Amino acid sequence: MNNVIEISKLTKYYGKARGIIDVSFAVRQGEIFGFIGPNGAGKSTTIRTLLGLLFPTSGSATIFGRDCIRYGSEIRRGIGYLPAEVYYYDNMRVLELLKYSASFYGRVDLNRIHELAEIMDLELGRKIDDLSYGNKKKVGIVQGLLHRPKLIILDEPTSGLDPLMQKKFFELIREENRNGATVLMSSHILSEVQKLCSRVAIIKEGRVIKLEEINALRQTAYRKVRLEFISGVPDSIAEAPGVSGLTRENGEVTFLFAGDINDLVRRVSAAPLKNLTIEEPDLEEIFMHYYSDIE
Amino acid sequence: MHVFAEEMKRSLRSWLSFTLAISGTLVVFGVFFRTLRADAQLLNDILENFPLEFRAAFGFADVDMATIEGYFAFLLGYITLIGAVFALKQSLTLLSEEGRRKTTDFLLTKPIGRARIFGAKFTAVLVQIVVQNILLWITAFVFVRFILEEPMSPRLMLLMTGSVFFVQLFFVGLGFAVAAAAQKLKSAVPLTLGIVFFFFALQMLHESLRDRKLSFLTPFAYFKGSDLIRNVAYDAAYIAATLIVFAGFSLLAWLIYRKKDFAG
Repeated sequence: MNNVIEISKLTKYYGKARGIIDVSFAVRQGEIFGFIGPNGAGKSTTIRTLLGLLFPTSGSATIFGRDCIRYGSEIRRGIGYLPAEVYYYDNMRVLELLKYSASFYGRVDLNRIHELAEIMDLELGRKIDDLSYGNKKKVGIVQGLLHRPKLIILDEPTSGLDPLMQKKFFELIREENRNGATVLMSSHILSEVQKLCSRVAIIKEGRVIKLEEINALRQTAYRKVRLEFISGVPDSIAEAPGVSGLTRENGEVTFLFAGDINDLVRRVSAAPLKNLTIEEPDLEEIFMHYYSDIE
Repeated sequence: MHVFAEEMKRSLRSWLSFTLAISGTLVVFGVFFRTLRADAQLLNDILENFPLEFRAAFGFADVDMATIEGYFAFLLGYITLIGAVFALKQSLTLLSEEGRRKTTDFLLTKPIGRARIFGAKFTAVLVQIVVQNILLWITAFVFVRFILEEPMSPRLMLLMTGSVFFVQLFFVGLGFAVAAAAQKLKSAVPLTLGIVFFFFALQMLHESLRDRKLSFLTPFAYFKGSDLIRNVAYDAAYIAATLIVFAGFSLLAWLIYRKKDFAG
């Protein structure tokens, strides 16, 4: 199986500040690879080094089998990139910007711009300056995909997109993937990676701490549970398998849960509840309790 | 080519206003000369009353303001100042554009090397300056020959207007180096004014102290009108200084830019 991206012991320091340390992983052709970690873990640093925006302190990375610093401009011909934060030339109109973007890739089918804009519900005649952040993000998506890249790199792609657009966007990425594009996507939201990716690298404090098949991650659905009991908290809850990071305050108990939900429901039903919330925890919280011992 | 074209398009408004300011200053103050030359002796008498240091600092100590050459020498001192502001501002603005407006992630992730981006921006500034100077020369020539009807030597006029170009080259090199070295440049204009007026103040100081070594520190001292009138040639040492600063700083700018980290 061919690797589209190969990263080997990539290290980047900003002066003395840590960027990433000894990051190594490979992305296979045709897969959607997730790159997850809390904010500040080094996801963007890794991606920016792949794109030639940063120069590594040591280590190397290849894309399409070629060194990403030495052959940067040739490699980038085959890459579509959506940055975490989108900024464009304010005084340009959307179509003008997209055509400018297309001009770097030689012959680009301009119908493709209209096609993508329609899918993402983007008005081409508007001035960049007048766009909301969500709409700028859509411009980013269209300009990242208009040249039919072989490798799509997405850095925190869904921030700023409403749920409906997120769904459309994911469909679009899946479609590109079916057509042969390899995808590297960074995120700090576990559920979106779980939805889309086949494998993930987990990065923490600059180091990749784990490479996992998504099925392993999918089996463990992390939930943040908050229970408020009318009288006291039953002891059986703290003893349930899969409970961690439990805090207790008067009649209220909060914990992360990654076990059998039926078992938990049985235990909870033992005492009358005042309130109950179950939500998705931040990656930071998951990391604190489930990955804190992996180095 | 498209980066160059885009940079030119984005620069157009600023280029137009500065070019108008440069040629406009020449014409507006040139018109005054018509009145002045009638009362030439009176004018020189009035100016004589200013202290020498003051006259030197403002550039009319050793020129005869009643002649077109002298008046032009005085006037070009200030036109050069406008030209210097434009050259430095454009250089700072164009090279820091991506970092300042955070469009790095757009332009530098395209299939184009940094050499081509740097080259396009560098060429854009140079082309703007060259065209600006050609227009300045045409304006000066037409104005002096056909409106003022003064018999000024074309060679002297070329030397005088050409000095604007050389001073601009100095600031282009400096501007690119500063823009490449700066981590983030919030706004180019205050920095431009600070740097240009620093060099202009150095020139005023030099005019009072008259120290040749000091004169090499500021390009405003390189092309003195009175020297040009006397020699009808540039001073080779100053031309060399200009070119060394321009080439040296431009090279430095490129060396920094090619390895610059663009963190998000």
